[in-house]
Amino acid sequence: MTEPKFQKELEAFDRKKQELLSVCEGKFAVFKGSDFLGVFDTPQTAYEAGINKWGNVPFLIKPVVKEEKPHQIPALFLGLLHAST
Amino acid sequence: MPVHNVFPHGLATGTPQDLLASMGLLLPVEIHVPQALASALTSQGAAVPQPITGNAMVDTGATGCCIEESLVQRLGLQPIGQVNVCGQSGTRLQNLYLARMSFPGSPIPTLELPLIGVQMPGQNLISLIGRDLLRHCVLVYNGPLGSYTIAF
Repeated sequence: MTEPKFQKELEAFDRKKQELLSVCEGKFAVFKGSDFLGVFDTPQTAYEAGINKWGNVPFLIKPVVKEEKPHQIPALFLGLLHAST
Repeated sequence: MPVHNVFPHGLATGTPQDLLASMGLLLPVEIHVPQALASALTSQGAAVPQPITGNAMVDTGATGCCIEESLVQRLGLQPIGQVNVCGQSGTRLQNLYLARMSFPGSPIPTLELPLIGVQMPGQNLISLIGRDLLRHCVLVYNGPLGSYTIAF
């Protein structure tokens, strides 16, 4: 079971969400704790900025979207990856 | 568009058709730390972790590419977020990492992308290739020939 992480970062994102959606929907916002680093065009450039600022530590790269849909990996989570064996 | 034809191998016996049906769409893959992390480590005089090598399975049912979570520590990766993944009884929270994937022996270019950390015990896989990567590819499954083609 994966423990929830990035609570402070998610709270900081929620506070800025409407502002970010109005000016940079589709881009990627970077947070560590309640510190907001900025918005970047791709996850890769966001990651590079976070690494340069804080080093190799957990920081949040959040897509600036109205709602994130859950991912689906049905074969894995239903135990069907190798259904024939 | 570089084209890569794959004939599955790895079992002692079986026709190409049997191998493809049995093993699925397997692709040798190397997973490296992101370029920004490699550059930062190098500039600090620290060693860059060796890539993880193994098989990835092309999973057209998966919305995102995945990495076996138990291997993440060997690369020293830290999560960049968490995502909800639909499971049998609701959604599950999984860590998200950024990494580089390269495909040895193929013309598929090295790609840097977010990977969902998942648990795949006993599957002999290090990664799943999902539709976030496949949206850039043409994939042809040739059952009668026992091969598949991926063009990127």
